[in-house]
Amino acid sequence: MVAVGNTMHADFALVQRAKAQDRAAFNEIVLRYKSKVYNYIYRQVESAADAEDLTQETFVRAYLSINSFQSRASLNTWLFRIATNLCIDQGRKEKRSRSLLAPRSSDEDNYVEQEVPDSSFDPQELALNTELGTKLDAALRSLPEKLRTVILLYDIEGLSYEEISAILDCPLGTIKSRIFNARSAMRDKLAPYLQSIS
Amino acid sequence: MNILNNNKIVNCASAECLLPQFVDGNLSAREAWQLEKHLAECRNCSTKVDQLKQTIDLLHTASRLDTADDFMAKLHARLDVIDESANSVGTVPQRASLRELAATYLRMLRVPGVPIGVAIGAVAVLMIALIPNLKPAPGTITTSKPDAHISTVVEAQLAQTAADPLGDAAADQLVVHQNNAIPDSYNP
Repeated sequence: MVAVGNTMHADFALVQRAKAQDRAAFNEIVLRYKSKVYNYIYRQVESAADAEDLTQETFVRAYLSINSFQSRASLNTWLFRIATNLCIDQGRKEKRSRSLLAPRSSDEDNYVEQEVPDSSFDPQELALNTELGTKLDAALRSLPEKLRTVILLYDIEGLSYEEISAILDCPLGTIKSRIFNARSAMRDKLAPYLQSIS
Repeated sequence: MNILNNNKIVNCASAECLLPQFVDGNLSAREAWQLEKHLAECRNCSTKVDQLKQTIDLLHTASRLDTADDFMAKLHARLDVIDESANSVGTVPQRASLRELAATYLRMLRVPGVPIGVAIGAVAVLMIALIPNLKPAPGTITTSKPDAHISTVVEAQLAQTAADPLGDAAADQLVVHQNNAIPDSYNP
């Protein structure tokens, strides 16, 4: 708790300096958060190149609008909010381009029944950590956007229910429900591996 | 939500309602105890809980990646372009884009009282735009040259005050419009 308070205090000081056109302070903000933002975006989009571009765009937008940042919000929450909006826009673009190239029915509403789109889902292979990571990422990417966003923010980036509620502008109850649904969907997708070790 | 019936979990469906809080450790001691009793008796539910916990552990250990080595260099190159374009305008750099300014304006409209202020402002602007088209009331003196007119009026008033020290009838009729209602050819 003390660490969180210290982080927020340090962030506040950095933001104040960045608002006064201090590029070094903004640089420090980027160094603090680029890894978190990149990892979050990486699991939302289809390629590492897209993730890199959107992470750049997140910080460019933060730079452009740092003066509108309200100090009562956390910098962490604010940056994730910018990143989330960019990911949603990117998702829409990808959806449009996919539907133009190869029309297919939407499975956004049937996430519980949805499987990881990989026929070689072999539990033996998953013993390797790298392979497991790949399967985990594939399972995450196959989740509907709303469920993927909350599980990434909660279970991978470690944000609180309240922070996610602020980022997505959703009631706390909705966030909790989505997190549980997302975890259940992930459990179903990873069931072959989970069963093999239980 | 009535999860427990006489402090007993009655079926798997009601047990499932408690799972989200259970895996996060947010159940009360009594509820957790009841659920654990059910899990000890129900293999289906206990498997679900085990798998859910494993899934969460797996998510917590997801690999962390880092950005490319040239990430910072590329970012600063973009920020340099932004700063240069802002400075080349010759004004104080304005970092908020047009879109963000519009968003700020829309947010302001949601603040109680601001829409009323905006409405009053709009009415004031309309009135200012319409006033030049209004005809002056009969007997009203208007001019586009306020300084010349004021000196004329002051002289007339002084003359009248000298003639009648107790009356000030000229002041009652004095209306000055500092606008372009009267053409420049007007010569009082």
